[in-house]
Amino acid sequence: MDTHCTEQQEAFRATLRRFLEEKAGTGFTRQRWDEDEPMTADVWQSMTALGVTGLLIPEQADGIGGPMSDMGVVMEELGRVAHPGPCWSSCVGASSAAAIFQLDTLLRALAGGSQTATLALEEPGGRFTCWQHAHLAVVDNTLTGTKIQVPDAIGADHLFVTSANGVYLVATDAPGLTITPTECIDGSRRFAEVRFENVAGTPLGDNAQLAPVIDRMLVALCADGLGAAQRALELAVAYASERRQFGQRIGSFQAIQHLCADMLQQLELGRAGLHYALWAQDAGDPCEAHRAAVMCKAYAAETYPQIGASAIQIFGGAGFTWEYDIQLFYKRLLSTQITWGGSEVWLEELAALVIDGEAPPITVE
Amino acid sequence: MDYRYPPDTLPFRMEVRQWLQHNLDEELRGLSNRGALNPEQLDALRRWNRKLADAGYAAISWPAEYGGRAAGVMEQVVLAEEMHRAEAPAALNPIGLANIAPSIMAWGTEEQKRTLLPRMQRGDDIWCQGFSEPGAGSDLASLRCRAVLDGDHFIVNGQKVWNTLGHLADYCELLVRTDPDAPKHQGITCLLVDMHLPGITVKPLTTLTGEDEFSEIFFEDVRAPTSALLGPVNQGWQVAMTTLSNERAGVANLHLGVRKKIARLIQAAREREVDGLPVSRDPIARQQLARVYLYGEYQKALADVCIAGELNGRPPGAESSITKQSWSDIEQLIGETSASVLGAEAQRGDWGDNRLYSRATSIAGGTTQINKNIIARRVLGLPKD
Repeated sequence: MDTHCTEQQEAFRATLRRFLEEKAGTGFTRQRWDEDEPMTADVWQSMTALGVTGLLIPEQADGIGGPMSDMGVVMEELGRVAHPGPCWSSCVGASSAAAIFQLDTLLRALAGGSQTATLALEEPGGRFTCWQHAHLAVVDNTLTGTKIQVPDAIGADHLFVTSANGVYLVATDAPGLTITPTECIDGSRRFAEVRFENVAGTPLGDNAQLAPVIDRMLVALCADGLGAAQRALELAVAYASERRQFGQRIGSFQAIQHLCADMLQQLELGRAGLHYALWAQDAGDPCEAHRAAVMCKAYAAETYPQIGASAIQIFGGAGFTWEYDIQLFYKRLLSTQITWGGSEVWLEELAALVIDGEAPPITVE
Repeated sequence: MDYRYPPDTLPFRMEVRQWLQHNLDEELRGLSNRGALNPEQLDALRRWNRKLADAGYAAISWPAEYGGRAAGVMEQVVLAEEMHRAEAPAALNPIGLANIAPSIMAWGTEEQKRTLLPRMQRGDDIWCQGFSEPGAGSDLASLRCRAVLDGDHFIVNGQKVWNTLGHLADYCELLVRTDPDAPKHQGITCLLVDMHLPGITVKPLTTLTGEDEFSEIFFEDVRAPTSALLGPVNQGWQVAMTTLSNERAGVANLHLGVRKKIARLIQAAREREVDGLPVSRDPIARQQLARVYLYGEYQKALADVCIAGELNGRPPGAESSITKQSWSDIEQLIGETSASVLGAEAQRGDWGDNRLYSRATSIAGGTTQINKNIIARRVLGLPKD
């Protein structure tokens, strides 16, 4: 029994952190902030070389065949720099989906970093937890309708699209498909609206087959949030340990200390639940994997924005400027909250599991 | 990463479960060790405690030489889980076994260890702590209860407060000031005082729940023999702060009680109807119940981090520092949730009592605010200036 990362995982973390700090830190995030395409070719190539793009892809498709607990390390590190690339949508989401539908060619392209793909799930007016009941119309394998909040659609080569008739694979250069960027207060994430007008797609299977992919993506999103929240706390503590007012460091004031202690409590509870959820994704019980993922997102959505807000508060006026990085993490945590539904949505999903059903305790005793 | 308990814990779990099936009488199930116990309750608890001790389950974390089995964290966790599952009452000397005994083992004379520890384990002697005073709460080291050496006796004068089990206690681990001129942490001495000595008066202290859960203890020219001294004179602070090295299981088990309450609260919400519908169908109640459930489960996840830390030989980290206050937050959240979900039912009986009692969780054993000061400095490294 161990809840911590293994030594190999910590070594992997250290390598990733060094790369991100040197080549793709918050300076890179700022540089990409207003660009339609979040990524540059050289950084993406490095991500491939580091094993990020192939991490979840099976070995027979040129991947590494790693567990979600390894991907958790990646996502935490990406969150620490508010990384703008399509790792969440493509390396976690599309890679897992492509493995389920055994799309060998796509898997190889994703693993090698030559292509990226994403999932088009949400539709106007829908609650995210109803994602399986998509309305997008399909006639003779051509799709018509609108998907919203599609992550990293610009730059992606393929879309996994849920519809009234199941999941389709659609090339982003297919005739009749238009992708329009959607505004987001967090410039480190990209979303788009995707319109389909008689767009040809390849049928893959039932929407429900994506359920484990959704759970993995929920947990990965929260791992990214944990990394960002951890960095926000570190920055706030460092600032409070230097900034002087009334002749003393502001970190010596109890008002500041208690804010920081509250942030630590929220963070460590989140880490405990996150690591459990990562393990549950790998452990092979789909019900437990889902329950853990739902708890993870409900907790992250409710709590992580508070950590970001407290960090801004500790920075005072400096926290309200564009110049200081703390704003990047606050925005990252807000988009972590809102993406795929806030705490209300996921607490209701949890209620459906544990009040209407009889959920088992977290450990089989 | 692996959240499964080690497979070798299973035989011990089965052993404990079977023993409890054969030895836990129906009348003992769910019996509380809180508050002013009536003589029958006390008698029942004493018999239960002896049974536990004779079977070797009363103090499993103690070293073997003092009657324990030097149990590691997993055995302690498993025992607590099984006791909880069977609704077995807690031991009569919770503070003695967990807090006082480690000090006696580390600092006591052979005579003290040999005479006091076995009786404590069996519940033959009941123990209380005499630490807090009316003027020394969070700032415990400012305590003023005096002891002056007079030949082969200490003469003790002063007052203590918040003494759990004080009205029943046979012994008290008492902190007294022996050097008023020394810096406050360095003039304190620890005595193991026989509570039947002349000059000791115990008065019940009624809590806001209406129970006589605590006592106030008054010492008036009490003559305690020097053989009552635990550790060196003026080193009482270090003596009192001694803990067992394998003590992380204690806080790790805090989730057991809250998760049971949360399951009961969800069940109560299913059964209570408003406007012809179960409360558990109400959208707002569902949000609140799901939230409290989530925090209960996360307390368990946090416990697993503490357990795994000890199991894998890591020093206690941030998780250990926050466990007590996150537990207290949940206890209070259960209270608030019960009020909004159960309405009038939450202002009577167990739910009413539970809500009131939850206030103690952020005060007893160190207030949440003191804990946050400690976390800020020791875990986060914020400056003192």
